[in-house]
Amino acid sequence: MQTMTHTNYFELFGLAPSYRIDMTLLENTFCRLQGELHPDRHASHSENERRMALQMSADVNDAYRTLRHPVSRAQCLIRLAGYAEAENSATVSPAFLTAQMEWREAIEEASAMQDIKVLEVLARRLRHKLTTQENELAAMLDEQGDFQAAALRMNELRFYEKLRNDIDDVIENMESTTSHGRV
Amino acid sequence: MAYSDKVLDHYENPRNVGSFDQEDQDVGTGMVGAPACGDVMKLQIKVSDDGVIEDAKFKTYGCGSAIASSSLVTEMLKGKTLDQALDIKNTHIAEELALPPVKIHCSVLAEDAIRAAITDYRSKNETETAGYDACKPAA
Repeated sequence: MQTMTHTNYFELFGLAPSYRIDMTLLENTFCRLQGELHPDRHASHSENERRMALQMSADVNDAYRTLRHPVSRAQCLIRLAGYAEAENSATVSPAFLTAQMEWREAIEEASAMQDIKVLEVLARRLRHKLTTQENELAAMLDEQGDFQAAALRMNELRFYEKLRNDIDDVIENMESTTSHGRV
Repeated sequence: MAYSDKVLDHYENPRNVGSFDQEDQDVGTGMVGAPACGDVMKLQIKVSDDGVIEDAKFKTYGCGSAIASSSLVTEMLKGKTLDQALDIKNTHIAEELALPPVKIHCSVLAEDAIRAAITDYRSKNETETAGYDACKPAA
C-alpha cells in the first residue's frame, strides 16, 4: 500500500492552504481517496497495513468535514498560522450582540405571527449577510493574512450560521404544519 | 441529554424575562455571547441609590441550560450589593442547576453577563459622579 504522508488537512487533499478552495476538486479527491482506502482493497494485506488504511480513512473523513465548512476551514487556517489563541480572545462586540438579539427578536416575532413571508425576507437578508461575511473572511485569510481579524470575523460567522440554521428550521416546521395540518 | 429538574423548572417557567430601558442611569446592561453555540444573553440590573440590586431581568436565546442559568442568576442577584454580586461564580450556578460538564460553558456565560452588567453600570455612573463632584461647590 502506498502510504500517504501529510502534515495538515489541506495537504492531505493536495490543496494549497487557503480559504478559497475548489469545492469540486475537494469532492473528487475525497471520493478517490476513500476508494483507494476502502477495506476491500486491503483485505489481502497485513494487519498492520489494514490498520493504517483504516486510520487514514478516518483522517480523510475528518479532513473532508473540516475543509467543506466555512467556519471549520477558517479555523483550520487560523490554527495552522499559529493563531489558535486568537479564537478565544477574539470577543465579538456588544453592538454585534445587540444586532444578534434584534435578529432573534425579529425571527421570534414573525414565527409567533406565523408570518412566513417576513421569515423568508429575513432568511434572504441573512444569506446576503453570510455571503458578505464570508467574502471578508476570505480576503482577511487569503490576501491580507490578518489572522487576528479573521478570528473575530469567524466567530461572528458562527452566530450568523446558527441564526440561519434556526430560521431554516422555523420555516421548515411552518411549511410542514401548513401543508399537512397539525399532527 | 437529560436536563435536571431545576433546569427544566427555570426553562419552563423562566423568572424575570424582559428588559429595562438601557438608557436609564440606574440600569446596567450586560450583553454576552458564545460563538461555539451561537447563544446570546442579555442581563440587566436595576441598582438603587445605595448600591443594591433591586431588580434584574434577562433575555436569552440559546439552549435550555443557558436560559436556566440566566433565569437563576436574576433571582440570585436581587438584594445583593454590586460587590456581593461579583462573588457569584459559574460554579455556584452549575452546582445549583446540576449542569453536566458539556453545559458548564452556559454557566460561564451567565457569570460573564453579571460582570458585563456591573461594568456597564459602574462606567455609566462613575463618569456621572465625577462630573457632579467637579461642579459641587466647596463645603
